[in-house]
Amino acid sequence: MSVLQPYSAFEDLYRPFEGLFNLNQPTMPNSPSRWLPAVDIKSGELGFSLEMEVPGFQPDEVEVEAHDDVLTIKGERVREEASDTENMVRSERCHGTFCRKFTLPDGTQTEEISAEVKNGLLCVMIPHVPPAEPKKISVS
Amino acid sequence: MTQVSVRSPGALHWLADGWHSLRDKALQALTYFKPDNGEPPNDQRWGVMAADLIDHENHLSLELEAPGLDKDGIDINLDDGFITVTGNKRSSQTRTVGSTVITERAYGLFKRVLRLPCEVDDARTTARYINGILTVSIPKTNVSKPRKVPVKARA
Repeated sequence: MSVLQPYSAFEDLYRPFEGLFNLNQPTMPNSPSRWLPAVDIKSGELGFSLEMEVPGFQPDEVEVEAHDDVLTIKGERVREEASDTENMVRSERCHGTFCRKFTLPDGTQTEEISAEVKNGLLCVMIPHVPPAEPKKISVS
Repeated sequence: MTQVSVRSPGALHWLADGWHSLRDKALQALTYFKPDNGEPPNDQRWGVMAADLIDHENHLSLELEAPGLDKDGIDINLDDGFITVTGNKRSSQTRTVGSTVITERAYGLFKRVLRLPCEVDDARTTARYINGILTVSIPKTNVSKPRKVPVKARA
C-alpha cells in the first residue's frame, strides 16, 4: 500500500540546510548521513582497494557490509563530552552517523573482501575473479 | 573572525553576521594541500582538517583530524597567540598500485593555524597522535581565579 508521507518529504527538503546552520544538532532518527568521509579507490590486477578517512574510529565502530552488488560502509561517532559544549572555542568535527554505498562490479569475490583500520584510515580490499584466459581449442 | 558592527540591529545585519561566521568556519577547516616534490600528481588540492578547540579550566585541548599521517612528520608551533600545525600527507604506497578510480582525499604539505583564546605555556604543551587524531594539550598561564570581594556594611 502506498502511503503519502509529508514529514519525510519535509525532512528531505530541510536536510541540506540542517548541515549548514545547525552544526551541533543531534542526529535526526533515520537520517541517512551526517557527513561523507573522503575515499580513494584504485583498481589493480587483483581487484579494488578503497581507503576511507575515519579519524578517531576504532575497528569495531565501523561496519562494512557487502550485500548483492552493494558495499555499504557505516559508522557512528558520539561526542565524548556532551555536556562540555559551552567550553568549545571551535567545533568543526562531525558527530553522528555516516553511511556511504558503492556498487560492486561483476566478478567481485564478496566472500573475500577484507577491511582494517589503521591511523584513522579504513582500508578495504575488494578482490575480483581473475579474468579467464582465452582457451585455445585444437581443431582435429 | 570578521565582526560586523551593528548600529541598528536588523535582518540584514543578522544575516551578514551569520554569513561571516559560517564563512569563517568553512575557510578554517578547509585546508590547502600544496603539492610535494616527488609525489604523484593529484588533482584534489583542498581537504577538510576539522578541529575542535576546548577551553578547560587550566588548559586548552585541541583535537585535529589528520588521518593517515606519520607522527614524526607532524610539527606543532606555538607563537604569539596562535598554534600552527604543519605536516606532509602522503598517499600510502603499500597497495595502491593500479589505476585511480576515485580520488577525494588531498595529499601534500598542509598548514593549519588556529587562534588561541588566552595566554598559554608553550614549554609544557604536550601532543599525541592516536587513530588519526592529533590531540594537543596546552596549559594556560596566569589563570586568574575569581576573587571574592567582601561587602562591608557601613557602621
